[in-house]
Amino acid sequence: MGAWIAEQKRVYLGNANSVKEYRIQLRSTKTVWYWGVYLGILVLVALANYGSIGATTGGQTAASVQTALTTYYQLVTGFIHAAILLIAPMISASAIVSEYELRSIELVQCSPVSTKYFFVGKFLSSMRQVLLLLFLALPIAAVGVTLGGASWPQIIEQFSYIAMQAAIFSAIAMPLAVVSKSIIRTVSGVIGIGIGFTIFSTILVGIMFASGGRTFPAVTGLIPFMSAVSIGQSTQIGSISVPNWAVALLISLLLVKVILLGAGSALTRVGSKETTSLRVHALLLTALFAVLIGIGFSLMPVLGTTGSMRMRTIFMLMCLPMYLGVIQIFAVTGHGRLEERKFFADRLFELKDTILGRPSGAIGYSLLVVLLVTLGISAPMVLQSVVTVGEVLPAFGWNLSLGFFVFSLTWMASTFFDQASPARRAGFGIMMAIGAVMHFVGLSIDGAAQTMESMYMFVLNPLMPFSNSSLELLAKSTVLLAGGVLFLVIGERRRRKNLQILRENGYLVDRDEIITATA
Amino acid sequence: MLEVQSLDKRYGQFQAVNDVSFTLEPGQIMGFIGSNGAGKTTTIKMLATLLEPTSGKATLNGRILNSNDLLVRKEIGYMPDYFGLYEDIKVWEYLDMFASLYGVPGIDRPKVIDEVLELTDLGFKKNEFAHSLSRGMQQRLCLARCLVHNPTLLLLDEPASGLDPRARAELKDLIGELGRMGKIVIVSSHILPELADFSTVVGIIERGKMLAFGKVKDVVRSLTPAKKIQVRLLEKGAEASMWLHGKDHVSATEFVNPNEFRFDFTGTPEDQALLLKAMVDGGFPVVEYMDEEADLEDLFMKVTKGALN
Repeated sequence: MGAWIAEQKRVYLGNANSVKEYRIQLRSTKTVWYWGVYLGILVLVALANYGSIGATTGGQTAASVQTALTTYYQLVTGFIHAAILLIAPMISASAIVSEYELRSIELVQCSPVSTKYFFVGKFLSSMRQVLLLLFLALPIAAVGVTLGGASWPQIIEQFSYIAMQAAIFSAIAMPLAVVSKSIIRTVSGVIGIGIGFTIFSTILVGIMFASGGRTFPAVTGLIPFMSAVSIGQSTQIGSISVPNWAVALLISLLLVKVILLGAGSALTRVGSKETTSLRVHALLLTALFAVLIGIGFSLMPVLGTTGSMRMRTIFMLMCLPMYLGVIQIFAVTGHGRLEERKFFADRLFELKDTILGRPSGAIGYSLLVVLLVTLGISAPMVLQSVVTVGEVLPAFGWNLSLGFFVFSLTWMASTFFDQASPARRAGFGIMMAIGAVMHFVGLSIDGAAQTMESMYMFVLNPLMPFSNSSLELLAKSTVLLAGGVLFLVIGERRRRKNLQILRENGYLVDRDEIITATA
Repeated sequence: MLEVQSLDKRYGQFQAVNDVSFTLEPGQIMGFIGSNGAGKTTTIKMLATLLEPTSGKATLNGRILNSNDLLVRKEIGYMPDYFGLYEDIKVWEYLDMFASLYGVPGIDRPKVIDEVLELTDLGFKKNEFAHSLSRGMQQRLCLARCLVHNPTLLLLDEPASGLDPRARAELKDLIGELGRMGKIVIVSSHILPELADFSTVVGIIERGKMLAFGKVKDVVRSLTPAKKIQVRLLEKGAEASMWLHGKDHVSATEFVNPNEFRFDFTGTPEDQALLLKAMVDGGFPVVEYMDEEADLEDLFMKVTKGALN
């Protein structure tokens, strides 16, 4: 226990990477310039908005002035929010990419510290900068208090949400920076993921409201530019009313941990103890995250009703979070034709590779992700008797089919690329294209959808779990399964052909061949 | 003791390192010689746990050098062929960071930093920014970084590249000192004279294969069974050469000037003495008669000739 505490102290408090970053972050004149520009722009935005209030208040009622002041506060904090969400991944990406540019990464990699130590150090130093920037912005946002547009508790909660989102964005930047080794590509990727997360979580919140929810769930605090609506709200867990910010903090910490584990996995080699540990952690935290979502869902009033609305909601609740797992499936399945062993697919399946990190462990890992997401969400709902096992089974089938479809698609896409990263991007791009095409096909059939039942753009799209009945969802699952089988057959043929070509050119492609030849 | 056993590294069909084996004792300094792309850096990176061998293993005092064993890294000091210095960092801060990474307790770090700075003669630059140092000083700073955790094994990849002659001489002294401190040192280079002065053993690698390994003299002896003897006469150079032709153990005569030539000799020292006596008795006015030691460069050219052809 003492050793564990000492190790935690070393990683989180005395981390050499973060200490180094602290020392140099505030030293360069560039930092002073950046901060000056940041503050200058903030002041300009505040003054511009303040001017507009002054222009519109003449002859107005006290209520409209109050509204104008609130709008002023929201505009200023909105700008701070946008700036921080843009700056946070830039700082993280720059900390990682500079290690590659200076070639100092190898020196750190051959030191006796884990990848966790490395990323925690980078993350802590990035967050320190972000918190300093937020602190600098506090007086400008506080003008809202002086003018009467907001209260101090509101500002503190709002800034806490901004800090949590910045933490998530910073964390996302780390694996992307390791893979892309480019600040611009990393920040673009983070913005893309941020937009995706915003759309995805807004849909979830929308469903919860449409399903009878009366309060904003805690996750709203983590949705960029929506966090204001979560201020002062709380989440009911059993008989306890937990403030949204506390739940959001827990979720953001879990998300950051999983993402940093992913970054660590990207940096370690095949078969390392670290990769195994990171994969196990990722699976456990995926399960925990799913359980948290399940607890949140089980409180929704619509689950106490009957009829198609209830079924549709169950499918949505059970299936949409599967996209959290899908991201992992892209990551573990993508491989390249000519890459090192970690990313080289010398076979389709090998059970022990599930947690070792080779592509041949991708099927096993994908299946585990599907199981954990589905069981994690459904278990609290089933245990609290808000749904039955029979009701969640079709959704489980769809989740399984989607997982298999994504795996097969990425497996096939990987056979066209030499490296894993473009293969992953291609797999993701193809899936998005299929979703978009099906959406527009549905839209063109539907015209202007008038009722929930006639929204063909969702009903026809197998990638969307929107279904009015179990039968519809099973049909969608069958389409995904069939697509998955097709992609897998094509992918396997191409992979074997690629291996054959490599063999004919004198390459040793199978791990057993390599071991035998060099023994 | 460092034991390297049948180390292999393969990238697809390209064999970067092929069955490399050697053993080094504490205090030994190995000059790791090879042309560019011969496999020196790959071998060193495998020993530094940065690359995973395709097969084979290396052990340091019985412990396998493996990327999964974080503790074994505390025994290794690795200096790559680039500096990897951070911007806006001071000399002591740079060393403090790596001392912390290698688990040197905070209370001991100031003392350790002062010691390695003194050893590398950089004490007066302690509070300077690392980027403001000259190339030679930056190289010494990198060496100081490798020493903050007092490693058993030092891996120095092309440490003298880009240094001026003075900085090279200083670095050579420093590496010699490290050997005397009982550390196992592997120094790679393709600039051979710089290795000759301080290497106690030499390893020659070409196309991933270790072509020769051992103490410099032993390797020279094993690879050059025919020593070169240089003879200078007052006169009758051509006649002496003709006289030597056909004598036992003598071959390949080569003139330096009309009265000076060298020849290959495979006999014992006694045979060598008898040959000199016979020359003098034969009326040849011998002024000089001496062995010509083969240097590392000759050795390298000789050993790699076959591998490259």
